[in-house]
Amino acid sequence: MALFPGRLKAQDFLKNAQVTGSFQADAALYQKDAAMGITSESINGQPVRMNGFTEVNYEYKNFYAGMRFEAYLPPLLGYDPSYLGAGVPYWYVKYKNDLLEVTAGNFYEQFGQGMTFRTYQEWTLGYDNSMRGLRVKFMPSKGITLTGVYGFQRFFWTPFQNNNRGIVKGIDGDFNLNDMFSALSDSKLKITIGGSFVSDYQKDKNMPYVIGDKAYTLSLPQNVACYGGRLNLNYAGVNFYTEYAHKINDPSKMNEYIYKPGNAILVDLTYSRKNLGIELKSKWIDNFSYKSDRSYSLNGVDINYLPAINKEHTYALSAMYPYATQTTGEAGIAGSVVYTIPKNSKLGGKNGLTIEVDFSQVNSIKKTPVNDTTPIGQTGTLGYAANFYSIGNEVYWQETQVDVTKKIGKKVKCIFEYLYQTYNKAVVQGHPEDPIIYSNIGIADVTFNVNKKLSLRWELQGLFTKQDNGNWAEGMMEVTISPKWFFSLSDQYNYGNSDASKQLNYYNVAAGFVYNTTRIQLAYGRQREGIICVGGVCRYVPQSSGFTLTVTSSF
Amino acid sequence: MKLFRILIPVLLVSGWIMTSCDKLDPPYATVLTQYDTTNKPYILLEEYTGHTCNNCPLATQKALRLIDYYRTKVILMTVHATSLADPNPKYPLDLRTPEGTLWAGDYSISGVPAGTINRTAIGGLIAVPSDKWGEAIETQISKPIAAMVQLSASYSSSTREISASVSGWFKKKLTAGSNICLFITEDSIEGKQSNKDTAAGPTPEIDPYYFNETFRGSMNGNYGSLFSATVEVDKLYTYTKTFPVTNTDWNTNRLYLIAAILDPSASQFGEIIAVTKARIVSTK
Repeated sequence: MALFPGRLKAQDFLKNAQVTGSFQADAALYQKDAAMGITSESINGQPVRMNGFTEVNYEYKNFYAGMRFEAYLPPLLGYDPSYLGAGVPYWYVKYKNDLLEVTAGNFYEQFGQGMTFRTYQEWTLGYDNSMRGLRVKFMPSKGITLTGVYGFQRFFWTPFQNNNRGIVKGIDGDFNLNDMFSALSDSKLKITIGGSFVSDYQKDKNMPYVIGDKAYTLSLPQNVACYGGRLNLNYAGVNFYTEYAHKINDPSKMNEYIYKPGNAILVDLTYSRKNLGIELKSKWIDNFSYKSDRSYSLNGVDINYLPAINKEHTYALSAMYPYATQTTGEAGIAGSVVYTIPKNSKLGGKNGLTIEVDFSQVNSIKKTPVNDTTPIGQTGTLGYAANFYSIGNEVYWQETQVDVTKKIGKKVKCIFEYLYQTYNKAVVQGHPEDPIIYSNIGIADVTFNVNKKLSLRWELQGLFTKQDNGNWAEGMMEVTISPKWFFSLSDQYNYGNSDASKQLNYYNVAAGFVYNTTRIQLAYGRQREGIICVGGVCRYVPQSSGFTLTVTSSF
Repeated sequence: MKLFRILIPVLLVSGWIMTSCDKLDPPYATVLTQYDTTNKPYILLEEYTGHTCNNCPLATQKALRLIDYYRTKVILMTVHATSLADPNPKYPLDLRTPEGTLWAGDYSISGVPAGTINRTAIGGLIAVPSDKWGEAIETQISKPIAAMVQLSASYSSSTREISASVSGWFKKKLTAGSNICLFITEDSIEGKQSNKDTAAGPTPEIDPYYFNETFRGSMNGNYGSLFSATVEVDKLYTYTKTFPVTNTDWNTNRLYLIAAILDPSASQFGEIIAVTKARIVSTK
C-alpha cells in the first residue's frame, strides 16, 4: 500500500476507472495445392490454425494495470512453432505520479533508438521480447528522466527457471537541457542528451567447444555490459540525432563465439520546411547482436535493437526482397528528398506534385585478421579487427527509388514508383548458393473517388530481374464502399520463372466489413514464399493456399 | 535537495556498473583435450560368432589381420549369437547376451560367421560375410569423418560400478539427433571352440580357446541412449553413465568399453558414425 497512498474504495475502482482494450484473431484454413507443391504433409495435418490475442488495460487515477491473453492453436504457418499454446504472457501493474513511475510485471521499454535496450512486440513478425520484472522511472527535476529496468525476457512460453536465460538490468538517463536550465529555455536550439548502461547476467562461466580437431573450454563473461550515449539537436527545421553504443566481449552463437567488443553508431540528419524534406542517415554496426541467451540465434530474446535505415515498402513487389539488419557487421547510408511542387505552378498544376527520391546502400564492414595465424571469425579469439566506420567491398543492399504523387482534380490520386534494387540474398537470407539479385520495379497506384461513399483503387506492378525467380507482374483492384465495406481482387504472376512449372498465379480475393472499431476480413487465395521485415527484423513466410480470416476490434 | 535527488541514483548506478561488466583477457579458449583425427578409430567391426561354429576361428583370424592392417582405425567386437553360440554339455560356456540375440534378429544374421561394418548396409544387407569385410571396411573408411568421440571409463571395486564419460562432436548436422552406445567387452575368456580349418588351429576343436573382444553387455540399452536431441556441427556434447556389474563371471581386470555414436536416422536401427575404445580402469 506504500505505493498507493490513501484508501481506495472498491466502488471507485469500478465506477470511475477507464478500461480500454483490443482484440485480434488471425485464422487460416490451409488447403492442398498441387501446383504449388503443397500437400497434406506440408500442412502437417493441421489445416486450421489461429493466432489471437486480447489485451485489456485498466486506469484509475494514478494506478494502471493490464494483461494480454494470447493463443496460438496452432500458430499460423511461418510463425515459430514454439508459440503453440495459450496463456497470459503479459501482465502489469503500474503506479505513476509526477516524481515516480513504477511498473511491476511485463513492460516494453526503449532507451534512445534502442541500440542498448529495446523490448517491443510486433504481431506481424510474431516477435515479443518483453521484460518481466520491475521498471522504475524517476523524474527528479524538470527535463530529467531516469529509467531503471530489471528482469528477464519473454521466450515464447518457456518459464524462467534455473537461469535458463539472462537477467537483464539497465539504466537510462534522458536530459532535456532546455527544460533543465532556465537560460536555455527560450533558446531556438533544442538540446537533448542521453546515456544508458545495460548488463545481462548469464550463469555459464565456460562452455566446451570444438575447433578443428581440438576441444576447448571457452571462458564466458557472466555479465555482458552494453552502454551508449546519444545527442539530439534541433534548430530551425534542422534536426541532428546521433547515438553510439559499445558492448564488451559477448561470445555468442550469433558471432560464432568471438570475443571482439561490439560498436554501433547511428547518425540521422533531417531538414524540413514547407514543401521540402531532406533526410540523411548513416549507420555502422560491428558485432552488435545482444541477446539474453547467447546460445540462441533466431528471432527472440534480443536485448537491443538496431534500427534499419532503408525504406520499408508496402507494395507487394517492392517488398519482395526486403533487407534484414546484419548484426555481425554492416555499414549503411541512406538519403531521402521529398519535394512538393507548389499548387498553381506550371509543373504542380492545381493540386501540386510531390516527388520523392530515396537512396540507400548497405555494405559489409572491413574486417582484417587479428594476427597472421588466426582466420577471420575464428571461434575463441577476438575474431577480427575493424577500424571504426570502415566499409567493406561487399554490397548487401542498394536501392534507388523515385516516387511521384499527383492528385488530378478532386477525385483522382496517382502514385508512380520506380525502384532499382540490389539484393545480396546469400547474406541477407543466408543462402550462400544464391546470386545477387538486381531488379527493376515499376508501380502505378491510382485511386478514383467516385463519390463520397464509393472509391476504386488499382495497382499495377512489375518486377524485372534475371536472377532468382525471374520477372513478376501484379495487378490489384480494390473497391471501398464507405464506411462499412471493402473488396479487393489481386494476382501476382511469376511469368518469368525459368522453371515453367513455377510460373504460377498467386491470386487473392478479399472482402471486409467495418463496424465502428471492429474490422472483419475474409480472404481466399495463394501466398507466395518470401520473407517479411519490420524495422530490419524479418520472418520467413512459407507458401500457402486457402482461406484467411482476420478480426480486429478495440474498445 | 535537487543535488541529493540526483546524487543518490548516480552513486547507486556507479556501484552497479562496476559489478556488471566482465571483461575477459585472452586466452579465451583453453584446450580441453586433443583428438587424434589421423589415427582415430573409424570403424566398428562386429563379428557374430559361436563356439560351435567351426568356420568361426578362421573368420576371427581374418578380423584380427584386418585390425593389424588398419591398426587403430578399426575396432573389433565379437558378438556370440545364433544357435551356434548356445551352450551344451560339451561347450558349456555361455557368452550370449540379450542384446546380441536381439541384434542378430534385427540384422537378419541367421548364420555365423558374419559381421557388420558400422552397422551400414552393404549391397542392401547389413550382415557382411567374412570374405567381404576388408572391402566393406575400405568403403567405410574412405568416407569423410562425420563425428568424433572420446571416452574414459573406470570400475570401482567398492561400488562394483563402471563409470563412463564420453565427449563427442560432429562434422555434419544430424536432423534426428544422435545416440551414444556403450558396449562392455572382455578379453581372454577361456573356453573351447569348434574348428575345421587347420590354418586357424587344431581341429576339430581348439581347447583351450581364448575369446577376446567379447561383447558382455550394453551399459545403456539395446541401441544406446540419447546423446543429443539436436546435433550441430563443431559443438561438443558430453555424456556420463554408471552401470552396476552384477555378473560375477566377468573378470573386471580385463574389461574394455566401446563408445559408438549412432545416427538413428540413417537406417531402421541406425548407423555407427564414430567409435572409440578404452580400457576400464579398476579403482578402489
